[in-house]
Amino acid sequence: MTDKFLWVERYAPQTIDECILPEKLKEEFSNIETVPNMLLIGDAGVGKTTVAKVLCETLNIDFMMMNASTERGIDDVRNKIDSFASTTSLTGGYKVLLLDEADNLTQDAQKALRALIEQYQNNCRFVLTCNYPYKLIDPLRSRLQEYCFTYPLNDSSIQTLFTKRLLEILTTEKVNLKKEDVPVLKSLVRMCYPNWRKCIHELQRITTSGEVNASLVNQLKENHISTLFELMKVKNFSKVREWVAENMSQGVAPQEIISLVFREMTNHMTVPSAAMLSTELAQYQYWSGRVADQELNTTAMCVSIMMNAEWQ
Amino acid sequence: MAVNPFDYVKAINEKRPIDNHSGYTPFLSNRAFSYNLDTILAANEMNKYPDLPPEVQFAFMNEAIRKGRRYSSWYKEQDTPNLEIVMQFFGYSKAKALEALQVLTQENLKEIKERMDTGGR
Repeated sequence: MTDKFLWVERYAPQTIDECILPEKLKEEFSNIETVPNMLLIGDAGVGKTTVAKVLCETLNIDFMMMNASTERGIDDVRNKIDSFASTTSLTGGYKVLLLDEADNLTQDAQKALRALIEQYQNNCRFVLTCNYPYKLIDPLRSRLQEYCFTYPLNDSSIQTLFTKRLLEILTTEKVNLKKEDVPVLKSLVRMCYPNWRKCIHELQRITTSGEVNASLVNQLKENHISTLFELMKVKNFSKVREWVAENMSQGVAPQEIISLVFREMTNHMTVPSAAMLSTELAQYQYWSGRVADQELNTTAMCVSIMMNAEWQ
Repeated sequence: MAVNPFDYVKAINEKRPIDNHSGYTPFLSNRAFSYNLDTILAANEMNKYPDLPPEVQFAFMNEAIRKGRRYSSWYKEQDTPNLEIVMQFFGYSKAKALEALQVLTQENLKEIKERMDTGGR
């Protein structure tokens, strides 16, 4: 029902083979015959939820999906999860509870979930996805098999595969394709990599007119991070603060901002300055998944750049 | 007597000690100090260690931040129309729904609303 509106839903992979993943990870998932209790870790849009759904569907397992960003309390675990996990599957075998964005669960809910995993281990398996594994308590993590969705930095073979996937989508959608659109698509993939969800959303957005609108991709590039660099260059703290708050409230992940700053900093500051700042930025990246307030950590990173960078 | 969380922010700005730390909310205080250039880095230090006891966090902020008058207006998140309905329809989190909203057209949203309409008052 939901696949009518969004291409990310309509063109979601149906098998592990169709998923675009790092080679090693793909091999591991292809070999899974029985779903274990799993924790899928990775940045936004890399395919964690898709892989979990595909595994359940290809292995023909009854599954229920819950999003822990909206159902995160102990009552949700006690009522909804408990009643699902305690009943047997109608098709026989075990069931799977897919708990998306599990790092949003409260501490109490995590403790309750830990007990349920033990209690219903013969009846139900738990597949959790998260961006920040450090927010999960150790006793819960130790009960789950961890899979990290780590993509190599700027891997051209994966990017080529994804560009091909975009071309397939555009052909199916009967978008008027021209030869000069291919570099535009490559640029889009490079810009979004490895956030495939964002990439497909942007593809849908730039082709609403029935053909690829290259100017929208360029606009996207400019809006992305150059504004932030300009504001940091003129040391306009209040505007930098506002930029971070506004972007994060619109759903831009802090990890994405930090990655973009890493990627673009040599275009804005001197090479020695960028080199010196890289270890400091790595610290902010490290803390990003551990701090209480990510908006504050991201702004603090911008302040460090503002204070220490030598601009071109 | 319970102390308002923002009284602690005021006390830190005035470098005034407070004995009762029961109402100290590190997240709110750190967020308040994130709006000033001279205090944001100290606030982020405590942001890294949210599990430290509140009195320790308060003591750190009280020592690390210079006395001064600081005023800041907090960023107010804009209301996003249709966010709830998209979250519900696709089963998305807020972040995913915000991404989806940038793609969905008015016509799509109208249709989604119709599909979600279960009737009744």
